[in-house]
Amino acid sequence: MSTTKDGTNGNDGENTLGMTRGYIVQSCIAYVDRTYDAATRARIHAGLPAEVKALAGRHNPVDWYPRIHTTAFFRAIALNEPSDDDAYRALFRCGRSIAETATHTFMKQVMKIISPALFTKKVSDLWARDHRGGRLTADAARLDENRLTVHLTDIEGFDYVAPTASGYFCYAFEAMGKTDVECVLTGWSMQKPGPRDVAFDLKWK
Amino acid sequence: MTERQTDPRIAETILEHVADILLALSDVGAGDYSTRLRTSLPDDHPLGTLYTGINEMIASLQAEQERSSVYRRELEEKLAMIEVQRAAIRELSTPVMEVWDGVLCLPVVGALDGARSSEMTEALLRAIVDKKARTTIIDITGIQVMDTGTADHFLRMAKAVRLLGAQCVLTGINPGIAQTIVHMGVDLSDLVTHRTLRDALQDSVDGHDDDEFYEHEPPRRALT
Repeated sequence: MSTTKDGTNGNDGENTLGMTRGYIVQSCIAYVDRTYDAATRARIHAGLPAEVKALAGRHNPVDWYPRIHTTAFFRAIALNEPSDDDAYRALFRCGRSIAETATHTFMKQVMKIISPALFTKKVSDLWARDHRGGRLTADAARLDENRLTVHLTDIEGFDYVAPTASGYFCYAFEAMGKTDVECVLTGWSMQKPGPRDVAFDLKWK
Repeated sequence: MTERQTDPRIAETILEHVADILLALSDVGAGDYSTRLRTSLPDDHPLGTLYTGINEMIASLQAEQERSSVYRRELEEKLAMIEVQRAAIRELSTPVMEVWDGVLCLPVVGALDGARSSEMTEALLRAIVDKKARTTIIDITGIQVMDTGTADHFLRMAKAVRLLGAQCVLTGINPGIAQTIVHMGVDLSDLVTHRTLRDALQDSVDGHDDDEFYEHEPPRRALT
């Protein structure tokens, strides 16, 4: 793990003061390896920044790594798709894959007792557990209507994380036994992949 | 029988704390010992006491894990040192010395297995070529036990030496080993043997001197 003194990685000026847990990077790698053919996989890995390439496959699940280790894969997944909608869907699937890894490992026991109400209370802790930088909060006002609004703030530069978070939330709610889970993301676009704040409107049955 | 009703708010609070504990324990399970449970509950609250107990357990595990890391590092350093020493011993176990002009000596000490025999043969043959040696003396004074395998190693070594045009002499055979060789029926007749290294060296030097003498002057005995 390392960051330069000015907090940039020297690649596109992306801010790397934010960190993510290694298991997220591992999940991204596993997703790429599972989803794409050999030629695409080779192209994705070849296009990674040198510092990410140097560590690929050797990330420790509980260690912290600069965001670029995650965003490099998110970007590669997004840019591999022919359209913005396809890119969103691919990132959404990657987010589901990350959630699947989490719910089968460290969240395994928690998933047995979690409910939308508990998720609402714990969502900030869950984010802080895996990310340094940014904040996740939930508004429980419409929980009775099976709706939840989640705000992800102070994430400027954390490119492409929003669509993956959508996938993460949907998988988590399905793992709670909820059906017809939908998530509408606002404040994000492929043209501006790392905005300061985004919001997610979740609904389920 | 009346069923006890649990206040939903209490149940929710307990559930929340259980979730906190499970998350902290999962961190520890994954190898992150830096995690600690934080609570605003008073110290004498049952859940507060549980939090304190869990935090103490995590701290204890963290200390133990740090000690284990130190031990592991020390062990790895020692293993690396053993590997270096093993390489040095390997190097020292095949000392080929040029004891006279064109005469090499290989003192063998300790057990001789296949791997060591190969290394010795390789070192000896290389030295024969480098030093242009005509005689190699293998001294087995330091060998206490001889079996058919060890005898076979020496025979092979001698054959390889002869293929390079040098003579192979075996010295330092103690009475016990001599008896064993005879008892085993191993044929060492292809090998020139001498009782001691000194005898073998003397013979090699004398022979060499005689050769040189004959080359330059007629033998004195022929004149008298």
